Amino acid sequence: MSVELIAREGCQSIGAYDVKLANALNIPGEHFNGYFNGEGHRSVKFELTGHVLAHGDDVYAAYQTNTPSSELMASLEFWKENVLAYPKGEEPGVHNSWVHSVNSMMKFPAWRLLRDYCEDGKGSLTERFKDFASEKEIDELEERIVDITNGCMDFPENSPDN
Amino acid sequence: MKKDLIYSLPVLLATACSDDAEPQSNNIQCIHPGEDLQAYYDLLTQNPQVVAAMNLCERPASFQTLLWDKVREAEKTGLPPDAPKPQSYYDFGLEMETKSLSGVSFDSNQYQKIEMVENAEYDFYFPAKDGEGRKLIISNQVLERATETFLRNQEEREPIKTIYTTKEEAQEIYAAHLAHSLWIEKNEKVPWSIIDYNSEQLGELFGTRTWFKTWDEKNDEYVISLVLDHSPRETWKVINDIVDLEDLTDQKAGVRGSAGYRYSE
Repeated sequence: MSVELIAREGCQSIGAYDVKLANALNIPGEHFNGYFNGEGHRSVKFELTGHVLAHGDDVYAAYQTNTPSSELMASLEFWKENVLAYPKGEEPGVHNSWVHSVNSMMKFPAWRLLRDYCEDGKGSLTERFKDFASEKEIDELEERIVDITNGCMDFPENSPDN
Repeated sequence: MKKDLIYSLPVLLATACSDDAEPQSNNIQCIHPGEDLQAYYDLLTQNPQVVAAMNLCERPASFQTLLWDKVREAEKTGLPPDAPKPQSYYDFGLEMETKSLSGVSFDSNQYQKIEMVENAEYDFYFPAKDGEGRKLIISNQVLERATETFLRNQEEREPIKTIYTTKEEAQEIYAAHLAHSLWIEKNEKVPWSIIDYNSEQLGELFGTRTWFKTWDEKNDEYVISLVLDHSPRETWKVINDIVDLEDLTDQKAGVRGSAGYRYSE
């Protein structure tokens, strides 16, 4: 299982993979389709621990590669109230399915986000986060990026778990 | 040998077995695993909800024997139970080194079937005619390129996401996983216990759907989808690479820690 996946089907495979790892530790879990960003994407749910991996691809998504593994999963309680409570593919569930992922992108800015900002300016942040964050929050993110990159001079490697 | 004898478990256990499944017969029986695995037997008799979730008593004696043999091997080696990959895994060419291509199908209007020269046991479909319909002689080099192209296309456009197994292969994989769970529990490999789980949680953990997209005994169809988790021993290696088992305090830590696989080799 470590190296030989049947298929590299993005979130479809990795969602199942995630559950298999938990099962091997005697932790029940399930993967399900259709809620993240509307149709076609796979999520993972651990009822026992109250966790949801909003999107299987989150584990390697470019903008979340600086998110610590311990912070990667969303709250099942939030998902039950704000995502799973709505029919698949319908708002506001679709929007809400992104909330944790977007928050982690802003809280733990990845190398890719730093580069976007330094190449394309603040507009790249506004465009990405305008539906989820206030202007003030985006301003604060910009300040942090400027600080992290030393004014777009340094681009530290992602180091989420160290 | 004692392990070959079939024992009737206590009434309590037999009753529990009939909760969630259609019994194959009215004579519900579980195999005693043998004196060397008495601790496992005690675990099950004291926790009939676990037996029920596994539908253990309803399964054939051969399956139960297989499960206990897996547990016995794990106890003997100190390693989690193991099971081989299904043959179809190799037949689909997923073992890249072999480049076997059985099961490949192309549009018959465009491709002509030829046989591989060096490996006659497999057939290979390839556009073996030129624009005027003349047959082309396919060199090994061309064939090699075609094989690589096929594998690349398959990965990029239409990856194989379904593996069919035989009944025997499916039973061995399933038995290995159930044996693994019991081995984890009995040896306290994690600081939580399956006996604290409710029937829904146990069903989620032990149902055939956990590993098989299709488990259809009536039509003899067994299908694995998306991820081939054939061997708990292999999966345990991944776990050990990304989770410090000594640091696990509860299932939350286990779930969080298991997400660390994204940065492991």
